[in-house]
Amino acid sequence: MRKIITILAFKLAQYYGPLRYSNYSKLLQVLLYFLMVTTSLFTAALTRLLLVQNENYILAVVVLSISIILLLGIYLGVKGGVMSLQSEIDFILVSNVKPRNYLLADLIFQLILLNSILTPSLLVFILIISRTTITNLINTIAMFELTILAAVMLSHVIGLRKSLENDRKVNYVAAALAIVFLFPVFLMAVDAVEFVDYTPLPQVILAKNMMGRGVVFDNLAVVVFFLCLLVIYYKTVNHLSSLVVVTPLLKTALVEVGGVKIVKIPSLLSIRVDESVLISGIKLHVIRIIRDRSILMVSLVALIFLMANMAFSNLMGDSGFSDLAVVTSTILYTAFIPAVLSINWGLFERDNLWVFQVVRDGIRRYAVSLMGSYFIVALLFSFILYVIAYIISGGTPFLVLDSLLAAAIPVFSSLSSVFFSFKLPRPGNVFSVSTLLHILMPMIVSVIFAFPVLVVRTSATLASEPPIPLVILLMAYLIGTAYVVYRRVIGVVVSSV
Amino acid sequence: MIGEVLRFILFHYCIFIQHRGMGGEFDNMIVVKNMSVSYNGVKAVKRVDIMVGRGEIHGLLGLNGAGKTTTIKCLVGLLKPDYVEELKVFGINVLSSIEYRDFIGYLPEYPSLPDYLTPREFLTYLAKIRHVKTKLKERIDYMLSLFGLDEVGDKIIVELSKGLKQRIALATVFLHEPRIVILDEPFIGLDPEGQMLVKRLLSEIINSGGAALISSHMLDTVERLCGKITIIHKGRTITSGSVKELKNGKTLEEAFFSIIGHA
Repeated sequence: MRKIITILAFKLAQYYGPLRYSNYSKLLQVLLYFLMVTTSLFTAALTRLLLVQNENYILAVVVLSISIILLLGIYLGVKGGVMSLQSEIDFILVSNVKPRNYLLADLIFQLILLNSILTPSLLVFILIISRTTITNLINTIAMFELTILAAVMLSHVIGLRKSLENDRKVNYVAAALAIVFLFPVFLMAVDAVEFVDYTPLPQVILAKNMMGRGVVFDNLAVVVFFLCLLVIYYKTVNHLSSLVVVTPLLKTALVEVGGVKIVKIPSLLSIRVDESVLISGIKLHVIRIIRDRSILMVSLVALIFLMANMAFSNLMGDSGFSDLAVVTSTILYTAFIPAVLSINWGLFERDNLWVFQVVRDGIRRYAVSLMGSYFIVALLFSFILYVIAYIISGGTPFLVLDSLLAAAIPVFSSLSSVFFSFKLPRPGNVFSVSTLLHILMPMIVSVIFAFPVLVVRTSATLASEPPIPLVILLMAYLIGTAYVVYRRVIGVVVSSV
Repeated sequence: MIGEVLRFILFHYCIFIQHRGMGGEFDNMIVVKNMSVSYNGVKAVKRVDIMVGRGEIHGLLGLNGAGKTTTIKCLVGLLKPDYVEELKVFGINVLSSIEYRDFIGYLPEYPSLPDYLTPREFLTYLAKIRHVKTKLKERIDYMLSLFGLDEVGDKIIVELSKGLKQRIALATVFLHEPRIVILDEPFIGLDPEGQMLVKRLLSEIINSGGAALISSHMLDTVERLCGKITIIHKGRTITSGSVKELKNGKTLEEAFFSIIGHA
């Protein structure tokens, strides 16, 4: 027991190290929690307002929240499952610490870490949306904690099984589990929300218990689910004779790169001697984005956003907000792309800046091409998502304004992502405060800058037939603002390195 | 674009005139006078003086934490000194101009490279931003071949060994035919063949009137390679001179510890 506590203390001290000595980190942490709680409160209140009293819809949203937690567990598992830092890999994983002691310490560590991230966001959201009463409060919190425990155990089991067995086979199982956890979202997407209640899946049962709607069968099902998980967990950990086989999680980026092979790139992207430095630079960044598999992460999230788009569009079908849901979701997703790319840039590329720092004008050229590559990737996904979302939802796009938005958000999110990549502390790992800020800040900034277009877009009369002077004014605003922001970002980036 | 070209030509013409007029003064390719630097809140360099003459390979010696890397980072513009009387590379003030970067090649102690590019892609892009205009493709092929990278030129860097990565980093140093090279521990992870190649390239640079500043812990290599040495201890230059003078009949190792001991 003492060893477990020692390892846990070491992990916590390492992970939360910056909070111990840096006031800046403390401030960032407070700011982040404030943002998370207020966003949760606002989203929950808005959703509650729009979904009115339909309990099926509310259940579906709570199920969606639980699915997110469980999917996070699968994602962590696929990436390795065990949250080791570099110092642990070098000194603890090679020592004579018993695997089960280390894993138990890691399990507690992950519980603390996931709680610190998910409680201020998802628990607050669930409590508000399900209008939890005081009598049901403990029940809701207990179910929430059980969900996190299940996610961590899933993460360990998948990660360890990947180390012990055939990697591909475990990946298939993980993918199958992910589909199961996404099934209620699929029901929501095809406008069959009422069937969610009858689906005997763990996340539905947990959600019902969380909302105080569980019957004896549901309580029993939760117990059986956890017993099964415990048996699998115990058997997996017992199989492990050494910790060296564990794939550590915290030294990887958002997308796992293990066993990298050269990816054939389209000839369009190959570097030509006679093209400009800017074009070559953009191509190289796009090549890296393809090879480090950031593009896979972006595509995966695109799929999830597309389903969420359709689900929310259906949920809000009666309230006349379906069209707006498609737009909002697409905007948020588009802003998310450069943010994700910038995290992987921070983990893979930031150390290489020395090469360009010692070249005259090297950093400026590098940063401009980085922006260009983010913009191209984001623009591509933005338009694809718009088109698919409109085809599936059968909505009528407002071509001019939607095109303006589809172009404006990639511009501002690319500019702000590059700015924050250089100004924010490097993301230490996928769950650091810095990582979350890398995601949140470009999203907020790009929505703020594109706000005038968004406002016009939300007005059905203006959006359906926008007066030409208004369109010109909006375009002038976007081009002018983008230019000013671009100059400012480049100035700051060049002077900051 | 035209303005940029004119500015470039004018600048280099001024440098040419300035250097012709300076005569002997410009024989000092690197000048550091009374420099102090803080790094992460700690005074890493207190008073460092270095002079590297034309046609000279100059060794920078010191124990761990002496301030060698900090000094080098200031020279290439990666760090800003708290105070310095004179900091010039190729006759250009490092603090007021960045144009000197066209003339230098730099290798950091732990060079980090873009893992997901191939050596060919990386060197091609670097050659472009380094303004290597003539026969760029041939130049890249030559550099890859010179550093024994032709077989791995189209493999992703992350797949290569430490030694091959060091060769790529060194190829970036010599890619644009610099007049001055500043190398921080260049021989770490490099096999004897690679070391020999670096020495040959350094000889070519100094024979063409250039200069080199090398920080290294390998005393025997420094002894064979360098004409002059500066020893830094606890952030201060404690001695500088020719290898022969400093050795004074002893081995370089004995002389080094004797000097450090007296400091």
